[in-house]
Amino acid sequence: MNAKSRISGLQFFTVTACFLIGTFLRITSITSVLANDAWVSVFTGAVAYLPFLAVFLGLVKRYPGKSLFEINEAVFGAVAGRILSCVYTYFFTMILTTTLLDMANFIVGFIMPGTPITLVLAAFMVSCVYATRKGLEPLARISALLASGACLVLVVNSLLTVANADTRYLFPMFTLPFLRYVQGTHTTISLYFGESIVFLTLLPMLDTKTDIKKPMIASLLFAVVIAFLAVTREILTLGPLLPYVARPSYETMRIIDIETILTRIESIYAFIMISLTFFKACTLLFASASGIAQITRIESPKPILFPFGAFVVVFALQTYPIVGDFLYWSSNVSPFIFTIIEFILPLLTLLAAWTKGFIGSSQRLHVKKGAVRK
Amino acid sequence: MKSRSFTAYLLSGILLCCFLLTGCTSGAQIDQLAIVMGVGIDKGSAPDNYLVTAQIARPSHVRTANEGGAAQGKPYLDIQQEGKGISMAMYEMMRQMSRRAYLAHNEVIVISEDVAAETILPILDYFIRSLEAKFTVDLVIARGTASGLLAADSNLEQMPAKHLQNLLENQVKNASIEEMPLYKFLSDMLSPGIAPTIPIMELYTDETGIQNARVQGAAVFDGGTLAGTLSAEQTRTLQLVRDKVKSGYINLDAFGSYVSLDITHSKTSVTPRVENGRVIAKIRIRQEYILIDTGVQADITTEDAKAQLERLAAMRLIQSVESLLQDTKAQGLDVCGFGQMAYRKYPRQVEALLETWPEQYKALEVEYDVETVITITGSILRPMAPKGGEQ
Amino acid sequence: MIIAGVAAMLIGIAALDLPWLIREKKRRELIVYAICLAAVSAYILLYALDVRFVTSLGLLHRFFEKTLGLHYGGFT
Repeated sequence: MNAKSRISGLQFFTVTACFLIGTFLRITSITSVLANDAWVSVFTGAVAYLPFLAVFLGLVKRYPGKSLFEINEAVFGAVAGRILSCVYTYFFTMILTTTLLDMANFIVGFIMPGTPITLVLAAFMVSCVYATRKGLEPLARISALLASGACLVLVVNSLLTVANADTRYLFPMFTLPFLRYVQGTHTTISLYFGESIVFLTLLPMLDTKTDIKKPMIASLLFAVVIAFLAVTREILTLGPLLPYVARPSYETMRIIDIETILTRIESIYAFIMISLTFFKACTLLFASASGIAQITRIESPKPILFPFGAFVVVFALQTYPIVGDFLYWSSNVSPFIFTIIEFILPLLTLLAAWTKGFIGSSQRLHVKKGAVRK
Repeated sequence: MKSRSFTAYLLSGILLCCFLLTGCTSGAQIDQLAIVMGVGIDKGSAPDNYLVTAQIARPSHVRTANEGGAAQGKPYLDIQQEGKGISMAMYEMMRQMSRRAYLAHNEVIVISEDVAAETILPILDYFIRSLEAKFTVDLVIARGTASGLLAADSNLEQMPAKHLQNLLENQVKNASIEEMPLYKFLSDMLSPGIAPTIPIMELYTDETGIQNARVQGAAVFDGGTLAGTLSAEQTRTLQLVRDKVKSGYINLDAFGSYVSLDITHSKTSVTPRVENGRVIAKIRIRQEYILIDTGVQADITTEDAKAQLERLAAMRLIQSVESLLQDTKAQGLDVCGFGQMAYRKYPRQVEALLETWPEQYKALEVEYDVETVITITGSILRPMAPKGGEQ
Repeated sequence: MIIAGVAAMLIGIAALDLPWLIREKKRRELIVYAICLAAVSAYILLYALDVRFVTSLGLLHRFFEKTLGLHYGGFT
């Protein structure tokens, strides 16, 4: 990681946008719950995510230029702050693991059947570590290309599915039990939008002048538009089949058949999925490794990226058996776990910071110089 | 530092191999694959058993234009195997083949009427789960055996499976049937208030004694089981109600002879409403025609004659829809999907009705609003009568 | 076989930074490095020996679902 490399506001927007689109490729968790009403949760989820965003921005405003881990220590002190950082680091590792497993499962199941998952995971991780070692700034530069590529593919594919789309599949609307809408919205906030808490770890990499409020809001709007387009396309194409299929975006592409010439273009989806997952994995890998670096007070996470990446691969392999339950886990249990880490903990941090601000002098807000990683 | 960069290069080389070679783990050369073009499914000798016929392309036997009709043997091979479930039959089939059966190019799944009379769900289950098979593969019900239909040679196509698919496509263009790809059938089957249909094909012997395949109506399903059939005429009418007619013609008996009208525009809309706990459907049809052919010698381009023809055309449309509804109501099979349309519009009122939909459908009331317009009478102004005849 | 290959590959690559860390006497880094590698080796060994255990993710799942009862009714 090059300390000199800095991410501009625009790059920060493309990074967050890429991350969010990558997250929305795994849309099954909401389509399986809400079927033809899944599009609703994109909007309700985005609205319900606003308090999360307000908390994130509140923290950033109070501690400009500091990463999430540094903020923890600044607010709660070295010991409690580190414990909290451990929780976040574990959380990022957990998302990284599930993201990798999901992608590896897809490759092994759909693209290259019979390939050992170990090899796929290891090969993928090596490329992630290699890219992360080069720093996030080059990644931020390619994110613009990736985001526009993903949008282009989505738009072109949506146009190609027009022939198979049926607007009647959107109806009847709002016939499911109310709890399902709550579940869909909760899943959307915690599994999709909420994961953007990871960007709070990138803040020290940002240009000092960068105001992250605008890029964060812009990327949220961007993600809403993209997710809405993707979900609606899938509803219109798959209709009642939607809650039954394992990978709606992939299956939607399988349906494209223009005069028997333009068909079987699902590999394009695979390409986009792998690229975006790569990007997401790099961001999460950086976040987890910098968490470890902050907790253990090492100068840079760079030297531990490889051993940590290797650890994630073996951790994923041990976690693999529960992937069968992945859908159940992601749409039934994980929203609760994620909400605690993505909302309650940052909210507590913000409240503690405010309280501290009220009662203490401004000096007490700063941690000892040695505790802050530059 | 130097040794470190050497190690890095060395490792990158090894890694590159890892990346590139992982894809080879499940790789298969094209000459190691048996490319399946069509699958036929007949009843096996025991319950749950299927006799599966796979039509495999033999690219080396495909005649090119230069070779003309050089007889090299058939460009396809039909392999049959019986098994409990489709997958077992497919695996057993591998024992007879030196290549792996590859379903990615399968164009058509032909299911015999006998199998459909029990259930087609286990068959669809196999193909929908398969990551290799196309979601858009066409479904066909065979009157007679599926293997027989799959063996129907054609003078125009080298591969019978391709012939069947082209036949279907051609009928779709004529608005005679609706093509039923696998995913579409499943979508209809999972929707309440609609009985999905699959085209029926059969073999017939022409005047020259050659067996040919033809489309002959549609099979109607109720929860994956064949529950009734529609004639060719009824299937055409179904297309009209589903607003799938883009072209076609109607032939009317008028003025003591016949008049043929070519459909240039057709639009159907069905508007359901719920009154006193009953569904009432209003079918609105608007068609435009041009006169293409008549045996009538009188001038039928007058306003009166045109109006009479338009009325006759409208009557014909209503009669054909009525006939379709009468037959399907008797069987309780809502092929037009009135229940589905009503449910989409009034989910809360119709939800309870859907539980007994076959019974509700029998009592369904239908209103018609038909508008027919003859726009052009062809490139002549009046009939060409011989001299001394009517001017 | 694959596991062994992958393990060798990962550890081999991870060793890339080792000489530099030793030369620069980065103690903290070396400790973290050693812990990570020890964990990797232990996991690989257990995986290769076919020993499967519930990971922390599985434990979290159980804790939230069974102990706290925080889950939706199983809609998927």
